[in-house]
Amino acid sequence: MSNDFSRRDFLRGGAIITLGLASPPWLAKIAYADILKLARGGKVDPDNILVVCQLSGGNDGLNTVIPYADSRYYEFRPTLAQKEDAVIKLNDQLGFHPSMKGAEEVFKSGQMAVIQNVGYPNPNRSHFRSMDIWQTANPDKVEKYGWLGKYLDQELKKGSINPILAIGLMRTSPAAFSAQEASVPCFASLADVQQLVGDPDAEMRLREAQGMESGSNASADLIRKANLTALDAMAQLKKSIASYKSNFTYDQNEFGRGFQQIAQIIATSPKTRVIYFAAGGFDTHSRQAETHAQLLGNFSTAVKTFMDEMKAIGKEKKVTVMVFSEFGRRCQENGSQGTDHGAAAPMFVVGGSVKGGFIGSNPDLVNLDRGDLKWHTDFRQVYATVLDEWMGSDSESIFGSKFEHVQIF
Amino acid sequence: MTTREKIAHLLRRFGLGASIAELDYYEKLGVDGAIDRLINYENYPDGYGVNCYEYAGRVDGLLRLNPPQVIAWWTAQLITTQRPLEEKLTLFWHDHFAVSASKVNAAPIMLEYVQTLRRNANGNFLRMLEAISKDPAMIWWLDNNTNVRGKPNENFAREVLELFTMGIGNYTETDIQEAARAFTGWTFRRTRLGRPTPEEIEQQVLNGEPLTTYQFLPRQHDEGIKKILGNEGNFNGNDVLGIVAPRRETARYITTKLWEWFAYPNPEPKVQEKLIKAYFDSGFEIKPILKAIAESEEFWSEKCVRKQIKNPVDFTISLARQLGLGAYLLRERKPDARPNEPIPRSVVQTANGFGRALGQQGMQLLYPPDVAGWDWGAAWISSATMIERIRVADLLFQQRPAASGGTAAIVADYVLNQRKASTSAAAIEAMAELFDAQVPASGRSALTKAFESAGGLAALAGQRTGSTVVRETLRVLFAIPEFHFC
Repeated sequence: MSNDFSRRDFLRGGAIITLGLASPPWLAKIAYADILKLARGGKVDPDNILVVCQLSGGNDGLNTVIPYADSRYYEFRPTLAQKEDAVIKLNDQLGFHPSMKGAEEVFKSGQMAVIQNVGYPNPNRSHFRSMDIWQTANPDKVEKYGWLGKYLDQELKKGSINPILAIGLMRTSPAAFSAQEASVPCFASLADVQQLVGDPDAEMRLREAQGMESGSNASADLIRKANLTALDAMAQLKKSIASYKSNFTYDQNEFGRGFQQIAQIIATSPKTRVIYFAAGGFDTHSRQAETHAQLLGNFSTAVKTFMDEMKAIGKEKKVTVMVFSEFGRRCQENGSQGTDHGAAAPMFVVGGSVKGGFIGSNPDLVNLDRGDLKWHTDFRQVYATVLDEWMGSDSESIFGSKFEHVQIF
Repeated sequence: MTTREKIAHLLRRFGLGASIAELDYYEKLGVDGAIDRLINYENYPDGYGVNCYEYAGRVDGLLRLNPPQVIAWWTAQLITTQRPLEEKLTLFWHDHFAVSASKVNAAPIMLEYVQTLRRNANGNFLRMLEAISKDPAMIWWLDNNTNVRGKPNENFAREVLELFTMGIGNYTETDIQEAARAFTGWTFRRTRLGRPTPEEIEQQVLNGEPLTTYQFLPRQHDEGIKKILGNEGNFNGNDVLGIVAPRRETARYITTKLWEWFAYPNPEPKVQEKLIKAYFDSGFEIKPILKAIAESEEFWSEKCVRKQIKNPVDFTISLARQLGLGAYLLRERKPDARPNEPIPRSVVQTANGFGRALGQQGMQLLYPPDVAGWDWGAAWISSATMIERIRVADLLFQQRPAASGGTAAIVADYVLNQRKASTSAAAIEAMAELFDAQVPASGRSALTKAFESAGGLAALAGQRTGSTVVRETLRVLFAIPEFHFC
């Protein structure tokens, strides 16, 4: 830990240097991101792993991280407010939803940062648009490529990348992975991989079906290449999946199954650095209480088990999980014991290298934007921090502008 | 090429794939007759006619339509229609006049937009331009509702010139600014004024009346003189469209894009001239352009036939049609259902499955990636989309045969009863024919191995084993690069 502290101190020093207070000439020429890398001992570990966990539908942040000491919370939520004595208190103002016992343990172990009031300018309250904004990291215009897709394209420019450098654990490839060059394999579940190529004969047949490169039909060769990339990814995964036996039991729900598979990939696929996972059901317009409690419980139990497993296999410090939703929900509950689409909400960043605790001020329930929480931290600040400090990438070239980092590492 | 081969090529491009039933039907008409039947589709019933609101749900007793339900409805339409070119053209215009529900997140408005495209799909290009410029979804999507006198918003005017008509590089920034002024005051409103009750809205839906409509606000319209592309006058939006439609750049841009949709990229100058002539001679009619495409020798050349990468609709919907899923969807629905009567779950599930498959392959209906629509050709192909294509075999032939509408039994019937296949090779041959596939030798060998290792002819006859053997074989078929060309 002492090592971490000194790094952080240096980091703060680095921030001052960039303000020009004591900048030696050699430092002035180095990008901010490089300074941060220097601060972290010169380089970012090339085997750091990022797990992105997307809560689809708009998670009710106010009932996730609850400002239990604010009387206005109870006024806004006549039926949905959690009673003060039921809230899992994390400090004298804030606490988790009562179903989040797993998350409480992770938080108290200092491995969970809660970044409050995250959003972006002119918040969009459409699921699809707002999700696009989060995934393409551009609130201003509709963009073709995703933020991780751009990261992967950059990696590709440095040289060929492993077919499973990034994996989507979802049926649909997320817009975040959309890239000009890079092609990311996505699987609904590892069982699908097993099913598609689990039988060595089946894999051989799929390979045989590719035939020989023709040279004369460039388009057919392109398809052949895409198929072989997929097959190579699946073949690598299949081998690793078969070689691993987990000692941890996950609940049989979307989060449990998801994190179980994420753990399986991390345990066995050393080349994989980005895993994207999404779970839905957070669009709680009516009778929210039970559904939301269930989802938060499933989520936090899965994360707790996952972190335990990471510790057991010695990957605790190598993994960072970033959790987001496309928006939070309206402060005032609606007439059907639910909540409508809102704006800013908390993000979680979890991992053994994460500096735990709260970041940013508590939700301000007085100064609202059309009834919704105002954002204080732009989500791109979190992305930029993760890209620069955790992935060793250059967020400025990905976003086209610089974003101030948040203190999560 | 034999007549049947020609019909197959025609159906792959001007239709939604070549199914045995359609091949039989169109072959009887001959090539010219088939072109005529495909292009003049309004003279024939579409064979479906299901109101989109049958897919709607109810929230607190009120009819509520969401985008996935519109997607399901459209997908079912693609699978069942007897006017395949109508859908193929509607899709072309959806790509050309791209509007996404990611911003226009109001399903009734998106539905009305799709219907605007469909109504004008083979009509007159200038009429299409006028209709789409007044379509509420388009107005919302490109912010023309904020384009007012004194504070013009150029978003719509820019795309009219850049993406919808002349193409980039053929106009100046001043032309855009002036055109934007001409479109000021073009906005939209609810069709029924005041606050219609939920019952009134439901009645509108039952009558097939649009919920929103174009509105012109004279006080927000700029009545000053505008200078556009060398013309000068107190123009309104229609005048702008009337100025750009007869431009040669527009003729070239639109006809080239249509050619590329139906034939291949970068048409030869000779082809271009022919299509441009058809555009002008007919006063911007779309049908003569389509006819000129279908009747040009280049369309029937080696450069064209089976050389286009299937888009997700070509790939997925053709399979559904070859398996007769349209008939299944029609059977499952009550023929005299009213629009406010929910459609059976079996239909919704099937339509959802295929609608989602299109999205997984990168072509989510109603959600083009941006104002420029989808990228075609090679852009459809990535390892992720190829996995999704291979996995369509699982969608078509599920573990529970009934869930996929008995598709395996249809394959088994064709292979065993109609083609009377008695060897693995003959069975593979029959399946290739059913799915309009040209299979190279390496693929044939892989297909035979898959077919035999899953139980072969004996398994094909069984209800449960039939699904498995067909699924295993088709996974290999869908992995063959050559299968992805049409």
